[in-house]
Amino acid sequence: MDPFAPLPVLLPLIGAALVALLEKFHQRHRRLDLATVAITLAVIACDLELLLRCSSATLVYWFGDWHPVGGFALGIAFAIDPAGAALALLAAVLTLCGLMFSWHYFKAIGTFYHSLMLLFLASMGGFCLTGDLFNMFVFFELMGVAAYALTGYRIEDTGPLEGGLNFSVMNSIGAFMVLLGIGILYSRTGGLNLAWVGARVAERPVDAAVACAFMLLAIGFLVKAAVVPFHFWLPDAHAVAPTPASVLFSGIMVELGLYAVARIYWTIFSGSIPGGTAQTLLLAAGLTTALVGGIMAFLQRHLKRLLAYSTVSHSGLMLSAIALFDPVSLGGCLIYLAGHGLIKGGLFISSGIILYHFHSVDEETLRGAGTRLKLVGAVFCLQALALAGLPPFGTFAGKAMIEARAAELGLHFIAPIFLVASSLTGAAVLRSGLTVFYGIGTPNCLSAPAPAKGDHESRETSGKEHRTPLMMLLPLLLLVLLALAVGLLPSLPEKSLQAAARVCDQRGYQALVLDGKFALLVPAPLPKRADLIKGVLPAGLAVVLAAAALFGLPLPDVLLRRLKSLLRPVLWTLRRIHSGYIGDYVTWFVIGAAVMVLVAATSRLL
Amino acid sequence: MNDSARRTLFFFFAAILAGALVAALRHLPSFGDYQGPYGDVILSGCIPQRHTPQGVAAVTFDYRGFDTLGEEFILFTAVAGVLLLLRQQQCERQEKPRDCELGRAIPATSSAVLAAGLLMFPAALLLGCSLVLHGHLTPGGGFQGGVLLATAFYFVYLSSDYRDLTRFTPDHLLDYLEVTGATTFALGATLPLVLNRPFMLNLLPLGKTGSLFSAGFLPLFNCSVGVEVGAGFLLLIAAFLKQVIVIRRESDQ
Repeated sequence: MDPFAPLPVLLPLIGAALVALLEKFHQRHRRLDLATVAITLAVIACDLELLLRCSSATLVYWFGDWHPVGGFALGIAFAIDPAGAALALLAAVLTLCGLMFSWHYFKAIGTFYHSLMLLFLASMGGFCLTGDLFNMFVFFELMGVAAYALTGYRIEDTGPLEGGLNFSVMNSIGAFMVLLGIGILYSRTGGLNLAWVGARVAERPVDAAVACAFMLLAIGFLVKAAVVPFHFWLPDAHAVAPTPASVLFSGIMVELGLYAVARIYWTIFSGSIPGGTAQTLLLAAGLTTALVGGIMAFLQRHLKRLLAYSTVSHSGLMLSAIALFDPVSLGGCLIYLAGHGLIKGGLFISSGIILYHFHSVDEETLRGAGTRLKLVGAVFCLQALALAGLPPFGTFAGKAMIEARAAELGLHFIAPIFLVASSLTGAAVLRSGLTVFYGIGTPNCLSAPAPAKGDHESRETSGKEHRTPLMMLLPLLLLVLLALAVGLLPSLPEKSLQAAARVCDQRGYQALVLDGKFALLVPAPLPKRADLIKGVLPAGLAVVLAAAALFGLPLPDVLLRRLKSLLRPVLWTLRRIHSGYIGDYVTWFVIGAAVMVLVAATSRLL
Repeated sequence: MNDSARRTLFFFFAAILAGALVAALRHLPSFGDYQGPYGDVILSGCIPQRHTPQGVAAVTFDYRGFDTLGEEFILFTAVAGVLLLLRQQQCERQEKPRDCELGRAIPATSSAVLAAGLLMFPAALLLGCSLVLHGHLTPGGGFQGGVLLATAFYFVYLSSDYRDLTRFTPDHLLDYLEVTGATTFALGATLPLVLNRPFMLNLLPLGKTGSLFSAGFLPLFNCSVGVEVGAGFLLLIAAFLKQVIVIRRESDQ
């Protein structure tokens, strides 16, 4: 067994405890920063090593040497395949970027910031690598607890505390659903290992209990993934969290919820629930999320809220790709996930830089304020286009694969919805970039009346502020370059298809984990490279939309007024639904969960 | 949404959710009809394999010890999070502890309460230690015993005064203890890795079933969890009390 396997979890766990102690006795930032960055670098090295080692065969690591006895998994196993290892690596890289950004950061000491970041990293690593249902839940909880605390970091304001509270309430309810689902599966199968549970579930035709278990697990993880109607907590939390935490939340934590849905579907349910109703439900939720998130992003003027809604939109997009229940679209989704995570991380770091200079993230207040930040401004606008899927960024490569596969499967409505969603989010970000860094255009009639202004943000930082510190620019540039690399590496589509094929191979997974037999898998043939025009289209549409928002539409007044009166009730309703009251959020959750569980119980998802 | 609409919607859909769940759960094995292999495998294995009659402890600290390591760090994270959220703000300062209820004499502790406290403190402490130390032999263990240990000190506060509690439990010592508890478990589990064996392998001598020093790592892990849980809960109690009794806003003079 590979001694590297437990290290991505172990190193940050022990490190977090020791850093907490160090913080008590050496009240110096630098030592904490250095220790934390060193541990994160070590985790990156371990993840890379694991990624390389598992490329030929999935690594199975039995904790405490409790190998399966007669095919029954007694202990807990890490089952490390390229998809899991790559996600763990992405989490570690984003953590490193967040930590680099916080180099010039945080006046208060004795606040466990470094410990919490390391615990967050450990939980994400464990979540990606584990092959055990309950172990997954443990890391899900650890991830949540660390994230709630980080969200409320700035206790001086009410926003962070409210955001943290909404976040913790919604995610705890989601965790109950996951636990209920695990309970049902355990009572049915008598085990917790993903491979074992999958093998037992596949033995019998699916009944209402198993169908409900799948839905409950999916609902719980989709809360984390911020899918409509479980998404309300996300903008509240991401908008107020400190920048490094937002980078991790939007860059990887939300996506891990989606990863969990894909993982449990393929390891446990794919044999007995072949698609059908489950696919319709998840696809509908995903596409709705993509559209709602895109529109809501366009309506924001608070920069971090805008980015948070764009995360909602892209999460819906990725859920749609997963909901095709198809290895090729899952492969595209993996590339898209990496591309989006890196871009979104970079955008949150850019907004952190804006906050560092101007103590505000309000688009209208900051009109033209960022003119002197030439590099950041250019990178920001480039990232906006990359978010819309501009070639050759990773987002383009991934989305092209998903769209091509969806068309092959006869789902021709997916590509246009993707186009609308990604160009809306790209346009929203581009519009705010052009406003803040170039002062172009006039106050925008759609976002100007937004209730959340993001003006009187308390400072995250101390020190002189006429130049952006190098330690803030470095992670930004690193993330943009990595997002480019994800799109440009010629071997990546093939690798991600292999990784996805490994995730989707239920029988191979079971044989490997329970019996130690490895069979080589032939992945699906590589789809032909998508033409660049398809990528230029959403980016171009994003530019057009941003220009329309900044300068107004070149239409006669009568038509404009008509258009406004048409749009107003829709936008008003959307804003009213996103009320900020936790009671409303819980009600929406119950509505969504009731519909999904009812469908599962009655149709058995066949 | 207004209140009544929200309530109506919530209860309507909650009823649907509950109904669908109950309908689904009827397909589960009925009560007492145990189907899974896990219980049987553990019950037949825990004495020959791990020399402990306590199947639960064998599961939590050995067969599925990695989960428990995660759980322990969830508690660690939760404590760190609470301390972060309850930290003293810049607009706040510490005062001498005083009763906030103005215009009221602080009643002296009655001797009955004091006597009860004096009785309960050593009893709770002793029971807590016993639960932790015998976690691998009888029901109990580090988590349960640790909470009881913290409760013992809570009796000090209840039966006398906040100042007595802080004298008993200095924050620095608690920090040390909490970190020591958390890291002992993690480092103990790492020891086999250093010896090029699988992580979490129980490589200490297993001893004679039923004796205090048996079942390898189990007593050590129980103790470390007990220390971590006890110290963590005391830190939480101290932070909550401090927020109420000592920390004041600059403005409320």
